[in-house]
Amino acid sequence: MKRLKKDNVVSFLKEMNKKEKVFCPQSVDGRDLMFMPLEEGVYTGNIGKTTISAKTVLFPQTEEILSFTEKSISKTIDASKTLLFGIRPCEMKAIQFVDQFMTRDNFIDPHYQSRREKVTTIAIACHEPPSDTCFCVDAGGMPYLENGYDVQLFDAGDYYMALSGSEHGEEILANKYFEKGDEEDKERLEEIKNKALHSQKNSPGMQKAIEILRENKPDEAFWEGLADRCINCGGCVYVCPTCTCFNVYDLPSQGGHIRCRSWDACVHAGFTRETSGHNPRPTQGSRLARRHEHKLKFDIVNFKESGCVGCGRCSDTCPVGLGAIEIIQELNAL
Amino acid sequence: MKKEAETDLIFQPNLARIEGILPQIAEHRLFQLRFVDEDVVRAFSHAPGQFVEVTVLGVGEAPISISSPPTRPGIIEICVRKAGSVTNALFELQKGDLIALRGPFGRGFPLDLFRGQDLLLVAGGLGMAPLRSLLQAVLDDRASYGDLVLMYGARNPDDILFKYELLGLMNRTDIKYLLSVDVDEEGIWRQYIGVVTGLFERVELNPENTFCGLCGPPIMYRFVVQELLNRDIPTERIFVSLERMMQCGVGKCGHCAIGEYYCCTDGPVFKYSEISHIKEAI
Repeated sequence: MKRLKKDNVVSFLKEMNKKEKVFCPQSVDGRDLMFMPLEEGVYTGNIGKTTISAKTVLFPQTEEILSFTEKSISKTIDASKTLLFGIRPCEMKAIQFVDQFMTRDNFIDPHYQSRREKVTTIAIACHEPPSDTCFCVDAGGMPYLENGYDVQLFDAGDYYMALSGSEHGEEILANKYFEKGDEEDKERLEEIKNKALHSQKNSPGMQKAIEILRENKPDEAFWEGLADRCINCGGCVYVCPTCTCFNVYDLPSQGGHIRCRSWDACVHAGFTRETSGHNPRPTQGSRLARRHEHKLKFDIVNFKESGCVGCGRCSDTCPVGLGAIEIIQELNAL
Repeated sequence: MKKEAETDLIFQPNLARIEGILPQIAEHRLFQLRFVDEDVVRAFSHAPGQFVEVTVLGVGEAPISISSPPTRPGIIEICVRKAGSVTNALFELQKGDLIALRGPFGRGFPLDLFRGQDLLLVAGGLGMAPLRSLLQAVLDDRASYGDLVLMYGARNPDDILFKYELLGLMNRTDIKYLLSVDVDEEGIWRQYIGVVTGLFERVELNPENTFCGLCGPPIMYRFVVQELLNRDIPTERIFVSLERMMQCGVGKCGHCAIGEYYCCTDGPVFKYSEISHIKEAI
């Protein structure tokens, strides 16, 4: 185990940034906490919970996937070495979940995969919940990680305790900014973990909600009633670390055209509308049901785990109070 | 296709040339396509019911089912209705022009399972486009299958796809071809008038060994499946081809999700038993 002084974080990140692109939580205009390239915002030391997760790095809001002229087609893959510093355990879990989805059935998404292979993760465990809407423990997760990371940091006051979770993590811990800790660090770590586990108060009851959905308890009226409030802005989808639906379109470009993809959202009416005008999901209730059944029912069928990691971002963002927490509570009340 | 190649291939189409354009009914054309690269031509093989993603360069991409059978490789035929931006642009193109294709994608009709069994094919409207691939595949290897019935329901006599090609089946003894139209305003129709389920009175189906391949609008499925269940056909021998907005073709973009499935990779052809529990499927 090593230590990284909080005062040294920026120097460490700046040094890393010379070799690879560093992303970390930064403050924008003194307000929003965003996960963005180093020095595009202000690193204040507040890791918190970024408005949008690190998904933006692996699966950008818009990206070019092909370019073509009249006689040739070429694929555009732009992946460079990237360091994600300060992702939370729930985000790491979300990345592991999306990894499964993006490589399922031997259909490997080349754009996601090429970025993923070049990503180093330095996760920071949540010694206390970064916000009231955090419910990772209720969602079957933990405020710290057992695996999947390269380095995991634990907040110990004016320094972080650092564990490596991979060979590459070992290499990072060899950096001069990581100093040797003392004998008591191990004990301190257990204390932090234990405190973290018991500090989360929010438990909307996801397991029960999963059961209720599995038993097909909610009817059309349940969803339509809730959907009366939904303004189908798509905010819940965009901030979700496991939502990866996208729309594909062509645009004119110098000397030809490019094909792009952008985030799309299943709560939009046009998401399933076919060219004929027929829409297999014709009501807002059916779309709201889809969004939540996808995470809490169908992902369990396909991946044996829920697609909701309990980060609470949808509940933070939804202007009408229809995030996962509220939906889970409504399901529990059935 | 080779598994190791799929990483590179999934979003990248290959150039193909329009080798022929055969007009069909109003607003429908049959495009005959061939990949420019002969290696790609040789590597391409499909099952009836599978689809390709068709790119009109600079306009976009649309999923279109393959109308030609795997028994006639080389030329890929797609029957297209002029409906959206991509198909409108496709209708502007001429013989010799280049487009691009990805695929084939999805799960088609299981010919291996059908061999040696009786087959009932039921098409409604443009559903004849993918079903033609299955029909021709069976006819090209006729001895390998049992009794063959084709029921095709169109809106009116002017809306029958592959009309003359299918007329040729009327005189064959190795296929029972039943045709219906919903309405006949001009009074010229000499065959059945009414919905396609009305044709069931004219056939005997053996529930022991009949497989069914259905392709048409959702409303047709509701009634035809009921007819089949009334005749004791097991739900796992009823195959339906579902239509959804399949953008990426490889189960990633999410538009075509149906319950726990993705229409583009788990379908578009499903056993009825696989989807009967999903409310939004049909």
